[in-house]
Amino acid sequence: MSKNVLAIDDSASIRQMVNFTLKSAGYSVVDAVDGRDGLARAKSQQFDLVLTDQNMPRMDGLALIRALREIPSYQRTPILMLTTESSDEMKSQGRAAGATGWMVKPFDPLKLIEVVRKVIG
Amino acid sequence: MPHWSLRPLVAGCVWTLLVGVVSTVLPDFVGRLWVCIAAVGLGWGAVLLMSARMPGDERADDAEVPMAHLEAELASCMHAFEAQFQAVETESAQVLGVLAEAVDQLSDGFETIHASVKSLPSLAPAAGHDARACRAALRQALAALDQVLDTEARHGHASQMLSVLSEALSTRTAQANALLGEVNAIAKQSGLLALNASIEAARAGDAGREFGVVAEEVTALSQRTEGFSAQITAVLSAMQSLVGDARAAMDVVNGQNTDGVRAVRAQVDQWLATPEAAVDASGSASSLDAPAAKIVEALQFQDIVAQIVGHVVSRVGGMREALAELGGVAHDAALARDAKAVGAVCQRAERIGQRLRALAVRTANPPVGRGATPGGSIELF
Repeated sequence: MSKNVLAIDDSASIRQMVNFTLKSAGYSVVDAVDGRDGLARAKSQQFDLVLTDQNMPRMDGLALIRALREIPSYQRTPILMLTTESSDEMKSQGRAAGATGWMVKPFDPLKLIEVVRKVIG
Repeated sequence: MPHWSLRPLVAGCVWTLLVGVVSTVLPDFVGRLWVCIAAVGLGWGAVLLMSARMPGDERADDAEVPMAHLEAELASCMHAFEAQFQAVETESAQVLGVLAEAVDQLSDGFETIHASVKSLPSLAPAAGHDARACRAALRQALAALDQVLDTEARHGHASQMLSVLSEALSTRTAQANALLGEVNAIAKQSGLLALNASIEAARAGDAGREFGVVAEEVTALSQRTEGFSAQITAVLSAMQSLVGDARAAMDVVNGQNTDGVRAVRAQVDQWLATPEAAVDASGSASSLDAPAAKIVEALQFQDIVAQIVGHVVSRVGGMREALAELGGVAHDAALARDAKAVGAVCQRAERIGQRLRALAVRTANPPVGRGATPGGSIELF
């Protein structure tokens, strides 16, 4: 059974690209359009990996990570940030919130697959 | 309460000195003393009578300080506008650069795929497999590829359209800058008016009338300000409309390319699954992964462009609000007839300055990184 990934981004094109990339590598992918949508999906289904953007309406990536880390089943689930934000300050905030890693857009699909394999196999 | 300004005091002192100098030529000391006392007393008395002013004059002096303050606040606002517009221009240039990079990458990727797929028909016969089946599968792949290339051509057209729109955005921003230059000039004019009004009030002693002159000037000033404020708002509205068109164009481009990439991928997958072609294609198949990845990477630039444009829209929106407030200030200035009303106008101008400073802070960090970490980098904590 393939590992499932929750991909959260308010950009339709990024969701499509992440979906396309991870599905071609054999993963099952579920999309969410913002942090609040992602949180709702994460509560309804357990995912092996969460991939989230930072700047989103309604709930941003950092708030989502904090909310997920309060859910017992997501305390050890890898959460990767995929964002255009690249400042050290933002990365520090991400680390403090409980992010597993930080990827800066635009992502290299081959590198994304490599990292996802490294994190969840 | 009467007011004493510097000018009558200076006149009184000059008169005293003059009397003193003239009295030295008088021969009789006692006579000279009485003449001096009488002349100085008369001179100072005349000066005091002439310089004593009616209560209405207070408004002119009171108005001088707020008007100077208003001038300073308006100048500060204009500097903030300038900085915001310069940032808009920089971001527009960033949009153009990102698009150009995306189009280049897409073109490179498609060219590589095209060359790789076209080279495959010659590989199958050389390897001794069924060339007919292999060629049939490849024809399908080529047809899909042609479709993608057609999509790419449309992408190029859409990107050109977006470039034109972005250039128009820059042009309109430059127009707005020119208008703001006029705002600056008028802000300076208001300061000069306030100065002139205070001088006239001191000279004539009838400040009610002079303040009326100031009020008239402020009215004319505010009418002019309202006029170009509306112009700037129209320009900004057009800018936002253009940015909206740009975003719509990007959405169209995005849909076209995603479908195209999916189509070519599906065809290549089908082709790889053809037993006769699989062995011969294996070498080229790996060479197709990298260009496909390149296309996927390039397509993300549209998202980045959308974020930049969104940031521009946010900035422009903030400026529009401030400009609308400025129009209100101009309106109030037109109605101001006393120092209290002018003071209220100054407070509103101060609030605009605060709003612009807050906007500058809020939009200081653009969504697309200017940090040390380059795009595509990955860091695991």
